[in-house]
Order: sequence, then C-alpha cells, then structure tokens
Amino acid sequence: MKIKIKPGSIYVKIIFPILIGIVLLALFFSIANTTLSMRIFAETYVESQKYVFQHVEEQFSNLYQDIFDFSVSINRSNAIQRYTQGNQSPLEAMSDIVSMQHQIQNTNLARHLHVYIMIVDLENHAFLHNLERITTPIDEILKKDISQRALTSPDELVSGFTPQGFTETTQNDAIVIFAKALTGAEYNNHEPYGILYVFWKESDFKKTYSFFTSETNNIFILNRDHQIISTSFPSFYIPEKNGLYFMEGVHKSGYTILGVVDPETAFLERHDISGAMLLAFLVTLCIGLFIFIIIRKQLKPLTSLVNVMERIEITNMNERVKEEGADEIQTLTKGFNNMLEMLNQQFHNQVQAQEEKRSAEISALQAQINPHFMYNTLTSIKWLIWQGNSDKSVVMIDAFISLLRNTISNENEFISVAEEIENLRHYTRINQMRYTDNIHVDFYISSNCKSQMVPKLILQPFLENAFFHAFPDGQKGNINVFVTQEKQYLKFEIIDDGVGIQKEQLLNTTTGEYRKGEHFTGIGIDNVDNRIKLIYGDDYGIHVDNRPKGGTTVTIYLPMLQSFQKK
Amino acid sequence: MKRKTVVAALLTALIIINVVACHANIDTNDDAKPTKHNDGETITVWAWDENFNIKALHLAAQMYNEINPNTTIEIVNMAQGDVIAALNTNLAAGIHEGLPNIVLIEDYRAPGYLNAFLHEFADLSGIASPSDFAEYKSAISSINGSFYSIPFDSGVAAMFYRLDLVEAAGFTEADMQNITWEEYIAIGITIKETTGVDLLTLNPNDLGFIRMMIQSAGAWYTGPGGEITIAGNQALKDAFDITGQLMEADVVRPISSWDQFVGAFHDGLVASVLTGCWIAPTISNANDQAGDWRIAAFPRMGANPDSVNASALGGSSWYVLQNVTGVEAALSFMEATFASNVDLMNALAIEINLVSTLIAAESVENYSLDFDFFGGQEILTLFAEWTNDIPAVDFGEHTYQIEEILITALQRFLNGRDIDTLFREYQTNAESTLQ
Repeated sequence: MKIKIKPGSIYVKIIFPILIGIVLLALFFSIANTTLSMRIFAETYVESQKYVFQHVEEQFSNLYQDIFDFSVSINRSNAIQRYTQGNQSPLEAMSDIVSMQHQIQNTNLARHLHVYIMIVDLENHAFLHNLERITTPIDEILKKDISQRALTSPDELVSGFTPQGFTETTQNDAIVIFAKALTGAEYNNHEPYGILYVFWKESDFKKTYSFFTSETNNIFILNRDHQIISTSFPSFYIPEKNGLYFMEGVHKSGYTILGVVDPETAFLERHDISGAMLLAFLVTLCIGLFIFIIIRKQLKPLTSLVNVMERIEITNMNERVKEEGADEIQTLTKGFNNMLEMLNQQFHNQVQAQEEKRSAEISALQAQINPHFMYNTLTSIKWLIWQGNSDKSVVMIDAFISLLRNTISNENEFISVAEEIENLRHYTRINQMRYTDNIHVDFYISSNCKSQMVPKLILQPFLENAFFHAFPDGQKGNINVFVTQEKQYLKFEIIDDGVGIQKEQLLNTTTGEYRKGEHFTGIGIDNVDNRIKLIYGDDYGIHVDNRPKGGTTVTIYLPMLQSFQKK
Repeated sequence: MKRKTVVAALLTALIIINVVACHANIDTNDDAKPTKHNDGETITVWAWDENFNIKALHLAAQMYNEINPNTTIEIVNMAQGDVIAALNTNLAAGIHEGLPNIVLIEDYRAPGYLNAFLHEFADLSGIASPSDFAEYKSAISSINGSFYSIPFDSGVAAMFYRLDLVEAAGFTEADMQNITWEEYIAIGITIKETTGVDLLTLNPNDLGFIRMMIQSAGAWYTGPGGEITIAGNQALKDAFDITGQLMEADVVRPISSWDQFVGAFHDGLVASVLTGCWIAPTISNANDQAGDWRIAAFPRMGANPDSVNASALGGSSWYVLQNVTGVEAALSFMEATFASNVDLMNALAIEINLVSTLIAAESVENYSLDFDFFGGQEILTLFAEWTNDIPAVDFGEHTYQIEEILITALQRFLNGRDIDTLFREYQTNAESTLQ
C-alpha cells in the first residue's frame, strides 16, 4: 500500500480536518480538565491550608499570651526590680536572685524551647537566663531600635527582627525579639528602669509553625508596625503573584498573621502536567493514526476508481474497478463500471456502423465501373473490328470481359495479389490498345506474395494515374510494379520514369480533372490511403517518393500476413 | 465493521479524558514523604556547649569519617535545657522520631533517665568496659552487669585562683595547696580587705558548690538505696555551714546567671573560681589575665573528717538510644572514638583542655603540656591526678529536684533558721514531693 498524499487529495481534505479536530478536542479536554482539576485542587488546598493557618494563628496567640503574661509578671516583681537596680547586701541579693529564678521558672514562657530571656537595666547591668554569655555590649543593646521602641512605649510589648542576636549562640543568627520596658510594680509609674527581652533565633521561632508550612503555603508574622518579624518564606518580603491566596488574621495585640497560599504552584508540584500532556498527545496520535487507517481503508476503492479513470485512455476503457468499500462508493464504482460498459458498447457499435458504412461505400464505388470507360473501351473495340483488326479486338474483348468479371462479378472485397495483378494486366492491355503502345508496363511479384489477400483494386488508381499523368504528349516510358515482402510488410511499388509528381498533388488530384472516360471506377487515389488506414490501422499506408529526373515511386505498405483477415 | 469502529473511537476518547482527568486528580497525600537518606547512613548527636562538647564531637566525627566516609555525623548544638526537655517529652511519649542516636547526658541526670527509660538505652558493654574508665564515672551507668554509657569528661573540681591578688594579700602559692574551706575563707577575707575584690561568686539558684562540698566528703543528697538523706546529713550540714561562713565573711559576689559568672572573673571581680575543670578554657579566654591564674586542689571541709581535697562538678557521658534507627552506626562511631581512641583524647586535651575519664588516656603526651596562662602549671596532669581521688557517690535519681527544694532551704538558713529543724522539714518536704 503506497501512500501518496497530494495537497488536493481527499486524504488532506478529510483527514486533516478530522485530525485537527481531534487535536483540538484533546487539547480542549486536557486544558479543561487541568483547569478544572486545578480549581478543585486550589479550593481544597486553600481550605486545608486554612486549618493550618488557624492552627498557626492559635499557636502564635498562645505564644504571645505567654510572652505577655511573662512580661507582666516580671514587671510586677519587686525582687527583680530590686535586684536589677542593685544596691542590696549580698544576702538580700541572693534572696532576690532566688525569687527571680522562681518567677521566671514558674511561667509558661520558660517552658518554651529555645527561648532566650534577658533583663537589662538602664545602668548597663544585664541578666541572661540562659547558660551563656551576652556578647553585645549592654549600651549597644540599649541603643537598638527595639530597645528604643520599648522605652518610648513603656506599656507595650514591642517586637522586631534583628539580623544578629546578643548572645554567644545567637550572635551569628537573626533573632525574633520581643521587648517590654520594665517600670516596676507600682501602677502609675511609667518611668522605665530596664527592659525585658524575650527572643528566639528566627530559625527556631519559625519551627513553632514551619512544621505546617511548605513552599506553597507560607506564614508571615508582622508586628504592629507591619514589619515582618518572622516568616517561613525564604525572604523577608511578601510575594506578589497572580493566583495567591492571602489569609490574614489580626491578633488582638495588633500583630498580623499572614498566610500566603500558592495553590497553583502546589498543584504543579504535585502533578506532572507535562506528563499528562504527553500522554494526551500520544493517545491523540494513536487515535489519529487509527482514524487515518480507517479512512484510508474506506477511501481505497475511491482511489482505485480514480486510478482507473486516470488510465482510461491507455486501457481503452477495458479496465474495471473492483466493487468494494462503503455503500456509496460501491454504488459509485458500480455506476462507473456500468457507464464504461455502456460507453464501450456504444463506441464499438458506432465504429462498426461507421466501418460498415465505409466499406459499403467503397464496395459501391468499386462496383460502380465508370460507364465512360465502358463506352470508350467498347468504342475502341468497335473501331478495331471496323478496321478489321479482329485479332486485336478479340484480345481486347477478352481483357475487358476478364476485367469486368473480376471487378463486378466477384463480390469479395479481398482478392489475392495474383488476382489483383491479373486485373491490372487486363486494364493495362485495354489502355495500351486504346491509347498508345508507348507506355510499357511490367509486373514483378515475389512468389511468396502471390497468395496474400489485399483489398480489391488497391493498386489500380496509381497505375491509372501513372498512365495518364507521368507521360504527357505521347512520351515513351515504363511503369514497373513490384510486389515484395519487406520485414512484416507487404510492399507494393509502382515506379514510373515519367515527369514525377508530388504526394500532395497526387492525393489532391480530383476526379474532375480527369477526362471523363479515363477513370475505371469511382475510387480515386485520395481514397486509397484512407481505405488502407481504415482497414489496417495507422502503421500502414502510402509513401510517395519523387525523383525529379526519374519519375515517381509510389510505395504502399500493407501487412504481410498469410491469414490476415479483417478484424 | 462500522459499528466496531465507532465503539473503538468512543472508548479511546473516554480513555484519553479519563487518563488526563485521573492524572490530574491524583491525591495530594504525598506531602509526608520520608526524606531519603543518602547511600551512607546518617547518625545524629545532641550535645550542648559549642566550645567544649560540640568541638569534641566535630573532632571525633572528623577522625571517624577518615575511616568511614560513608557515615554522616550530624552534630546538633542545643542548650542542655532543650536537650532535657526534648528527651523527656519524647521518651515519656515513646516517640522516637526526632530523637538523636547519641545524646550527651550530664552525670547527675543519668540515673534518673536510666531508671525511668532503661530499655531506651543501648547496652554498650559490647564496645566498652566500665573498667576502662574512672570508677566514679562508670559506676553511674553500670547496672546489673550492663554498661550504658561512654563516660566523657571528668568534671574534676579545682580551685582556680588569681595568684596576683593572693600575693597582694600576703599569701603565696604554697598557701593555697590542699587547704580547707576555713583557711580559704580566711585568705578571702584578707584579699577583700587588701584589694577589695570578692573571693568568689555564688549563684543561689545553682547549688553546684554544695554538691562539690558534699561529694568531697563522699556524701550526696541521697543514700546508696536512693533514699533522701537531707536530715542528719553531716556533710550537707557542713556545706551549708561553710556557705553561711562565706556570707558572713562578706567575700561572696552573688550572681544570677552564667553570663555574670563568667563576667565576674573576666572582669576581675573575684579572686577565685571553684568549679569543674572544664572552666579552664573559659578562664584562659581572658588574655589580659594570662599568668595571673593558678590552680590548686579543691578545698576540703575542715569540720568534716571524711572530706578530701578532691571533688567533681558536672561531667557528662555519651548515651546511645537503641530504639532510634542507626544504632549500629552509632555504636561503631562511639567505639572508634570516645570509647577507646587515645589519639582523640590527646588531641582534645589541647583543643578543649579535656580531662578524659578514659584510663588509657591518662598518660597521653599532651597532658604534660604546661600552660603559660596558668603560670606554667601542667594543669591537665593535676586534673588527672585529682580525678583519681574523687570520692564515688551514688547520685540517685533526683539530684536536681532535691536541689530545687534545697535552694529555698539555703536561703532560709542564711537568713537565720536553725539548720536541723530546716533539714527535718525539707526531708519531709522532699520525700512527699519525690517519693
């Protein structure tokens, strides 16, 4: 099965739209499906992240409460105020230290992991609850923005983010820090004596909520001034992008917990879209191929119909198309075959009718011997008799009788070469007697050609023509007639040594130019060629070779076939 | 034929749509994928103190990885409080996820863990023997013929003192050797009078000094059977008494935090530091005081005949958690490093001034190095010597809980309460709380 696809072919016109349709359909479904899945996913994902968010919010709320409670209890502690400010005896100090420890230990905050608790008084004394050293000088700590904010708003628990911590283990880490100015137990006293700091390494602080977050679900914690103090996001800015969901919870303390969910990326992370697309593409390809094969199979009879139609000139309408395929195509093929059949029939009938008509015509012409010829011949005979030349008249009458018998009485259209030559001899004899003895005619016949059948009177017009036109003004001359075999051809040559004539001239010579009595029958030279081609086909016919000084050679080719009969 | 084609086409169409749809709807529960380990194994170790334990671990890991490059040793630096909190929470809940393979536990706390969670700890008798280590250390984790820890640092107590201040007060280096607390206080009074510098810091929330004193007399808060022995504990009574004398002498600088503790001697606010030998590198950090410091044996309690000039404070040991994945690798790491590796101990002697409790390490060459900061004293050799004299005591399970209670007892004693009455009261108190 060879595939030839031309741009205008039915394949292109049918299969391409179908394939394009399938691809579009697949594309549409894939996209629709993905979009739908994505939307459903986004909804459920965001919904699920809401719980996470609520959980984080709750956790932060608890943590904040713990820090807040802690700052309140530290602020109210006389022991801490006394100890921080100094000025006691060592014994009193010890007692305060123990109280302070109790106060710190017995809070919820102290139970949090990784928390740092530091109390600094404004006279540069510092207490760090953790077992390590403070690495930043106290006066520098007091100059920090967080400390300044705590001192400016002594009633508030302020918070912030600092790129470096103040202690041995935090000095190289960012910290999330909460600070509260310590004003002492008395209610109306707003004059701070120190600052309480509670801080975490940002990386540890993150752990309180980052267990629930992911790359596509980030939490940001913003302080009252809308500064990010902690985030699970790798950078300290809130991303902006289409398709992000924001969940915002404003804590009563003024803190904002922001959940940023990116369902799109989450979806893409979990689902291999390109894989799905590839699969869809492959399935589409398979279906396309499948449809192509089906359509091809269906269209194959149509193709062979087209092929047959294309070859119709070569095959002479003799080829038939196999009837198969879809109903419509079968009907079409059947119709085409029937049409061919009918056309063929019609054609043959017509050709036959034409031929019959033609041969009838020719037969009629053959049968119709020119009456003038008869009068003139009989008149010549009368003159011979009147002159008393009885021998000559008897010969002429014999020739005339034989000629008439062979032409009129013999109803066969085909006669043997021998018979044809015999007729020519009689005709020549009559003409020689009637007109002149100056023209000498000889016949040379190969013995193997004698029995070949040829159309009756096929050579007579050429002999007649040579007799009357090749030798004007009583010129003397010879006409030689050869019948030989040349390859598959039966070759007749009528050679004269007269004045010569062109082929066109020869063939266009009309009957009218002859004197009335000269023509033997109604068949002119012009008919002969047609007649030969009609009977034997285009490979055969007449060839005129003009020798300017040596007369004319007319060659007639007929098929050399022992048993050649009319088809 | 035609019908078949149509059916086939429909089916195919359904298949595409479904495949695409199913693919898109695969559930999202793949979040909790376990993190895949690399080809080699990873073991996790928890410890505290970046300058001491963590440094030691890094060196050990480095040595181990030279032989076993496929094992990744993840060293996590956590505050001791956080280690304890995480360990307590997870072990009590029976959750092993998130726990380390190896954890450093302070000796005081070890009995508590071993008693409550013995099945969680791997028996290390396959890789080490108690007799390889100082007895007072290995005794803690030898239970019924099994051995549960690889003892690490000695924590031998020492008296670090400022020779310049001592001399300024008219004393000599010889006056500081093998002295009693009473002598020490007397020297302190003179120093304070002459230089104005306090003798030592005391954190009333950290009874380490009490612990050192009672251990020097072979006593503890608990008896050999784990029973609380506050009432009638002569050593404890003597220790309280000495604290009283210190306060009365007004040579104490009260502190409340580690920061203030270190700050006090870095800033020259105290003339001596009485604590575990592990403080030596921290003291040495104060470059401006190089050559001023000396060490001497820990004071004994003159009033107590059992008390010797040797004690200990802190000191920890390595424990392997046997229900955490990677036990084999953890044992292999321990065996090749802290359980036996004398070269490692030798290197650590320089790196962190480690006084190893591995007996085989006693003779390592670096011990005999003299330290310019300490006036050329071979401090490691001295520490090692004193280590041999530390009286072994049974820490019992509740050291810190009892101490928590005693913190207030001490305050009340310092404020004039009768000690016998107090001890009886606190004995009852502690018993009702802990037993």
